[in-house]
Amino acid sequence: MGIFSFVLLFPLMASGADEFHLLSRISFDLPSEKDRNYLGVEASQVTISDINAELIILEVFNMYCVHCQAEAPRINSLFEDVNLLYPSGQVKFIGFGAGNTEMETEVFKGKYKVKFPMIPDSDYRVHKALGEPRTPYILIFIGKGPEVGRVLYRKIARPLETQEIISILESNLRENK
Amino acid sequence: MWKPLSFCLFCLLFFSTLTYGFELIGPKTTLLKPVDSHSHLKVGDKAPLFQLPSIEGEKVALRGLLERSHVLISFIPGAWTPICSEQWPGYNIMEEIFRSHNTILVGISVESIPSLRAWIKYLGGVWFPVLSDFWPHGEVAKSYGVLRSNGIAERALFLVDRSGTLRLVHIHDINQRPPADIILNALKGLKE
Repeated sequence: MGIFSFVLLFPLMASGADEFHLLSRISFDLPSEKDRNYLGVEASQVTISDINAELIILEVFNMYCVHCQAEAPRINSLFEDVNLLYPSGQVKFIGFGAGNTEMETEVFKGKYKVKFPMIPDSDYRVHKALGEPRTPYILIFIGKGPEVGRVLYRKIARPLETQEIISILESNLRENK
Repeated sequence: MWKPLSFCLFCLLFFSTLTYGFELIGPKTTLLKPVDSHSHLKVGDKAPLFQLPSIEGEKVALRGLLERSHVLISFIPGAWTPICSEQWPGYNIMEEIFRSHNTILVGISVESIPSLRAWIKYLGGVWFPVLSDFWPHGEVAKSYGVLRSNGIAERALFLVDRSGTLRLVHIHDINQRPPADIILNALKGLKE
């Protein structure tokens, strides 16, 4: 019975745990120089903690997920809005394709003309570290400073709550000034 | 001090009972035999010709499609199932890739037209023709050697070039989604 409880409670425990530190143990390849420049990293193999940003918006998607496909234009709009609001790059976006190969990730990125880095998570390492959420999943956390890793927002984006996300960015970047 | 402890104990017992209950009454997820048939077809063989009704109400013939383009045939085991409900939506965002390789995708299932039509509508529609191999049941699947012993089709991909020759024969584990890489690499291998 104890095992059954653990199995049921594990996703809740994982979502309540410190995702940032779990993610920080996962390295991923960044072969594109454009992606490295955007994220402010030098090495071609990095972890989430290497990203040079005050706030990081992480999306978990899946090329085959109709909800991810439907939300992709809205997430692109959010990316554009955030870049207009914070042109000096305080906020960075990164996407992970849960269970998607490099080719599949490129298909999704190409179809929706996504401008931020999208990384294949073919073995679900990132997805598992986040408690295997349904997709598309949005996580916002602090990227630097004394509160690095603190999660500000985590939700399944069906639909994407653009205004709520913008408000979170505004209040947190104002506080950090 | 005892209150939080009691609460934790209550939660543990509650969730244990709940999960045990699910074990008793919930449907068991069992994996199917990965591949149940043996296709006699191999790369280089001529693709069996067929004509099947589409969910749009028209008859679609392989010969007619080959007059215009290469054809990628995707057999799926069943509508309304989790993997199939991801596989074709994934292909749905690959239209430009298929077109750039002068290839049309054709989806085939052994289910009836009303069932397929309702499922495709639920998925939000697809750009490629969806054909029903319901009656005579699974005749086309059988001609490709991908009709399983329980009457459903394998999760299989066949790429037929314009000369009618098979360029890809891939029967995937029915329990898993085939990576799009299989299709993308096969399309890259085509030459006009």
